[in-house]
Amino acid sequence: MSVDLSALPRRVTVQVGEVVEVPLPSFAGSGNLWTARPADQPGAAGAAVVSVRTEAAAAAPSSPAGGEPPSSYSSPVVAVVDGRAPGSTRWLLVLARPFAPDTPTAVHELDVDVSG
Amino acid sequence: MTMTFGELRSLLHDTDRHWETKLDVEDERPLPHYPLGATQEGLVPAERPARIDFRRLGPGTNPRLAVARAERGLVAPTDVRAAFGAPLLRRLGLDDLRELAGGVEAPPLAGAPTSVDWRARWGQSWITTVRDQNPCQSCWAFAGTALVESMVRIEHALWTRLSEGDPRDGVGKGCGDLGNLAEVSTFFTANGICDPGSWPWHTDARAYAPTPDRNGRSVRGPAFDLIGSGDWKSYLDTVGPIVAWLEVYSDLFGYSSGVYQRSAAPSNTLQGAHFVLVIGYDDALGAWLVKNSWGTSWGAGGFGWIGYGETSIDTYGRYGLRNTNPDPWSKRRLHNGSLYESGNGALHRNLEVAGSNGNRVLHRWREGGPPWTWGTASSFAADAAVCPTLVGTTFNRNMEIVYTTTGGRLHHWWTGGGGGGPWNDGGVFGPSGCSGVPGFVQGDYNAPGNFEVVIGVGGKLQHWWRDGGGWHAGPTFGSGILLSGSALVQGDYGSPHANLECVATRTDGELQHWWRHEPTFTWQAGPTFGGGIGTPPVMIQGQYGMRNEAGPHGNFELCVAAAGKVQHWWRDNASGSMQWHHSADFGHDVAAVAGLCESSWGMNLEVIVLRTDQQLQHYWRDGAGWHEGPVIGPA
Repeated sequence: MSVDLSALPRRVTVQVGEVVEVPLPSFAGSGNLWTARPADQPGAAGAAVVSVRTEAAAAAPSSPAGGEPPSSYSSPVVAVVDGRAPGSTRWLLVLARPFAPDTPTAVHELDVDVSG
Repeated sequence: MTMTFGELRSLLHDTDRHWETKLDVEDERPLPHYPLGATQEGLVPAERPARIDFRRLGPGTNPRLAVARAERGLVAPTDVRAAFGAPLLRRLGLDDLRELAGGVEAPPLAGAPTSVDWRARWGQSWITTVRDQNPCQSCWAFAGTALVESMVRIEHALWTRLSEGDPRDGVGKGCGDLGNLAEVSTFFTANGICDPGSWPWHTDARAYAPTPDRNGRSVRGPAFDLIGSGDWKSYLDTVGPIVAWLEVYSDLFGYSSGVYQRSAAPSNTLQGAHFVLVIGYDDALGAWLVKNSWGTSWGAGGFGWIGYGETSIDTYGRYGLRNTNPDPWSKRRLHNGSLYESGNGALHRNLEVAGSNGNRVLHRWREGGPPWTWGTASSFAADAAVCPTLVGTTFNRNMEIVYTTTGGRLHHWWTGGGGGGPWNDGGVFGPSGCSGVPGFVQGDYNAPGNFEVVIGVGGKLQHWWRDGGGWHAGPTFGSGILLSGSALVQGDYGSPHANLECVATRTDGELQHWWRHEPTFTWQAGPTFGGGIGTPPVMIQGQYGMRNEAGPHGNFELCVAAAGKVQHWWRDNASGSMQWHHSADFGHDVAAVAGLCESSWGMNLEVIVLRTDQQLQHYWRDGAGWHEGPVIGPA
């Protein structure tokens, strides 16, 4: 099993009050969803909050109802980085199947630097 | 031009609609125009695929399905009886229907039943195991492959394992690529879908490079049917599973039981669109039964019920498949000796027989449907001492034979492209003094796989094999051997290559089982069984007892002539007891058993015998027992 996350940034810099969006590759068709949770770093939590948002599909299927079905598709997904206070923190972007949460498909570490 | 209230009142009155407009509005006032909230620009009109003419299906190749079609009024009972024979139909209970007695015409059309579940239809499963596409976006390749596998099982009583990586990579896509079923259908029609040994499913990036013998190890068939909503249940009932498109919302990932109905909560967001194999429905539940490709952790062991109309599952047409053509590789363990069920013919289940009168070889064939007449394909060779051992190989779906010559050696012949061309002389090889009929199979060493032969010589057995460099002498093994037989099988025991298994007739009249251990390549003596036998045995590994393509092991089935009859033996591989059992004696005037196969007639066993008058005769076994078929003609 291999998921190529090399295109994802390892570090994001934001200012307090700023929101930055990081596009994530979607694997919804394979049953996987992204979630975000803080890494276990005492004292660092609170500098930023990272959440995951699924966007509406860019283009709805144009195939006529009743006829040939369109291709499969995946809705765009973004990680939303919200700078809250100066400092640094590490978040984990976890790609996992909700029906098998204990065996994530991939985990990506995202370091967030928040400047005043 | 805008209609007025008065004009609408006149229209309602004239067409007797029993509706009224507001009474306090004068006739001259124009009707208000309420916008729909969107313009009509960009709207796409609905399509309706052509209806399936189920009356043109015919009885097909699955006897149980043929009975169902007769019960629905889609086929005349006489056609079903002609296709499968009265004994088998009696076992299935169709003789209780009044229509069968006379029934030239089909009974009145009956609708689809209130439920269908191909996991448990007529007491058995017709669906291969749940697969896992993780983490790839290849649901379209998985659904299409699952469709082909299930239709091979339904149409040919054959469990097969195909590769989802083949259609995905074959159309030039990779793990992260989305797709649709039209792509799979187009690829399948042109190329078939091969087994994982030719090109595996994988999640990493690789250039598509199946083995050179892919053509001989790929199930083929026509383009998928596009089926409109009005035909879905009838298709599921009388043909098989269908592939559906649906939208995936977040809560589908958490489905585990019951009927899925999409939550209307704002947090339940649309994640994408997906393909699944619909394998049934239940009107009481109001739901479609689907086989997903997210492993067995999703849903109920990988299956789920999706409510009718839920998550857009009923929005588009669905894909089905008819008239599959299994490949020689998928059927390699299911036949031996002079008999082979090929993919030829309209129903892709012709029987092919190679006989010998002591000199020439005569290749006969029988179409896979009525009127069951045997034809002669060709006559060739002049040194065949015994009926040849005939196999279908992955070399372009060739048919190939090896026989013992009148000079006591071995001779190989082949005909290309499914057996339609002339027979070509592959040359004489092997030791001198061969006794018996050669065991001959194509194994899984290399691709195309090596040929493996076991022949009796000097009271022992000798193993010969052919690779790209020609024929090679292998070890001799055993003692007290009278005759070898068409009883060499590469079964499904052992890894990474399966063991070779063979049975030979001993000078003391017993049969003995031998097997070659992987990976030491040493032949091991197995048990002896039977007695009073002086003819060569024929053995296959069938699929009886298998729950799906993954197992358990199918039984060994063996037929051998003794005292003018055929003895049927079988080894119980499913339970692991490994005991040989003598189940029945049948037939008369039998000099030797020439061929044996487990056919697509609901796992029937088909036997070709050489009679004492040197004629070939056909016997077969269905659930009602052994039956005597016609004398085919001179060997």
